[in-house]
Amino acid sequence: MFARLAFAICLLSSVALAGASHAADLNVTVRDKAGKPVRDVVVTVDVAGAGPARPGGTYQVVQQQMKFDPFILVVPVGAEVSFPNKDVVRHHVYSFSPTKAFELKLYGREQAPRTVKFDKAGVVALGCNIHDSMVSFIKVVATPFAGKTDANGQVRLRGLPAGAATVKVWHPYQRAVANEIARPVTLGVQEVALAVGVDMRPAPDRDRAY
Amino acid sequence: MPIGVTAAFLLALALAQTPAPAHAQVDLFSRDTLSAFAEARLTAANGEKSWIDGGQGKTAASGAGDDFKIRPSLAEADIIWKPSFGWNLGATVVGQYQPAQPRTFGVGEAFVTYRPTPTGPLRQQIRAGIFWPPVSQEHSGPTWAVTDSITPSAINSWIGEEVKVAGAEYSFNRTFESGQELGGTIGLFGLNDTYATLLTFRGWALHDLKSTHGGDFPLRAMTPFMRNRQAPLTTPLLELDDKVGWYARVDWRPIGNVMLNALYYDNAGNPTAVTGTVASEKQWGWDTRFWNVGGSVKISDQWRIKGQALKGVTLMGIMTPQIWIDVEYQSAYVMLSRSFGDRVLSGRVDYFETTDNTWKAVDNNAEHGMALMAAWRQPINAHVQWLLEAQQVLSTRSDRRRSGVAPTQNQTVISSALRVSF
Repeated sequence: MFARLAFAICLLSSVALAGASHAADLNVTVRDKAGKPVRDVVVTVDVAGAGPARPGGTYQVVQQQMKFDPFILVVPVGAEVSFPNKDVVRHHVYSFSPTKAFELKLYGREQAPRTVKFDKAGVVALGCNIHDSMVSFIKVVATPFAGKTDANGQVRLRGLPAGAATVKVWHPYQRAVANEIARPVTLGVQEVALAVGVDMRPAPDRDRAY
Repeated sequence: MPIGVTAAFLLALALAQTPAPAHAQVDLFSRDTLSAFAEARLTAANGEKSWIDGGQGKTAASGAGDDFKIRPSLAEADIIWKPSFGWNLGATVVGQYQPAQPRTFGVGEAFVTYRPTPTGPLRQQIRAGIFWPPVSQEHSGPTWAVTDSITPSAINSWIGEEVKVAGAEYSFNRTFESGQELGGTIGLFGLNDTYATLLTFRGWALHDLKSTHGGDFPLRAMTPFMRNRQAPLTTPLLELDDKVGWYARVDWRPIGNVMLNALYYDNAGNPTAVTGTVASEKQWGWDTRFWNVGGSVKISDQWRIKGQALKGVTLMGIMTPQIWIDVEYQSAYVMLSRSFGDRVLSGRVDYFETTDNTWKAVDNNAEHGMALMAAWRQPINAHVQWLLEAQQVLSTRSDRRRSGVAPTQNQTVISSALRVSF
């Protein structure tokens, strides 16, 4: 009797461990109310026990043609981001966001790019104190499962553990509390496709003379 | 190009070889502070002689009646100096060479700017010096270049030639959680007393000639009534009555892709103030006021529509028994643009009108007209842009009869421009 019970426990344990060890991909497609794909939407999945994202890698926000590039950058907590200026004019990059308030005072293309370490999860809105039309965002995430949608509104998050999870969908111009919505998802050993609809407000038109 | 201008360009290039000192708070002459701009143009125009050449034509191009007159030209060459005196304190000084003007070289804008680093959603700026007040939705950058076409609308042609200020301005802009933005600007200025001289004696025009400090524009088509009272030129930046003019502007972005603005401008001029002792030297104070409202809508990633409407009045001279000049003026334009990647196709419809309320029998400054414009803008590389523009201007001004010209004139101008900046 004891031997049978022990076998059952071992079997259940191995099934559970096998489930946890199987990794699946999550393919998220984001569309607006008109059905058009939305790019630059940040999709994150918080997984219990997954641990924080590793801050390795090279991250940068380039100032080029009087714009920040990329418009949205996703980085793990602890990442260092450089801000090279490739324009012929100087820029004065700043953020007053509580996640990371900083200021990179006037510098030009000939000067070494400045770097900033982002040590807290959240949203960092960037601006230039010389050129008001320049705006971009850094989304600092604490999970290794994060990405942003491409021009087709799609992002693929790889190697997610099976089980129930919450998918968070963020964009600076999404009509939602903190510009973010959440969707539950059950992940298995097969790839999961998730379609998310978002309510977007028009992006600010920054191409103006005055 | 005159030797002085050439020397200034060479000096700018030489100074621009100096790298900026690392982490410099004060940067006066590094390569980051100096840049240059030039525009070469090929123009084909029919119709009447231009106002700048002594006729009553509405554009800067003189035609040859029914035949097209083709003319290559260097439209403009600028040196831009943008030093910084601190992290938040800088300046912009633009030397502009415009060969079509009587005085070919002068200072375009010259102002200092203080912009504290935002610590929240409120952005603020103070600037002081010589600059164009925030009216035009078609100009941008330190050289105040027309963005999507070669020729600005009638409204912004006038702003460029006569409505430059020497003063100080405070502006702010605040972004709200909802995405709305609210901004405001208030300015006080001097050197403001001859505004609307050109607008009255010549009427509305469509061109990109810009006033420079110390420069003037010809008034060759004045009536005999005014020739006995006013010099045959006007100096746009001139102080005669020591009164301070003012303007105030409100900007509102109700949603991201819609921007609206309204500005009121009053130069507080004394219409009897005068300089000069003989008629050929006299320039008068003009009491000039106007409202300008503007808006733009980004319809989609490709389509954008914008427009402005301006309405005002100007008074000048002595009551004998009517005041010499009492002219109301109004104009509006709508411009639709379609982008194809980094190339832009634009179309604009312009309407303009002046109403003369006094002395019409001897000095009739009334007119009305409209203009159609189509423009193509295409970047060639990071430093060169190519523009092609076709413009049709139809206007009626009774005063043309004095010059033996029919009151109603129609002109077509086709222009191609290469803009180089480095």
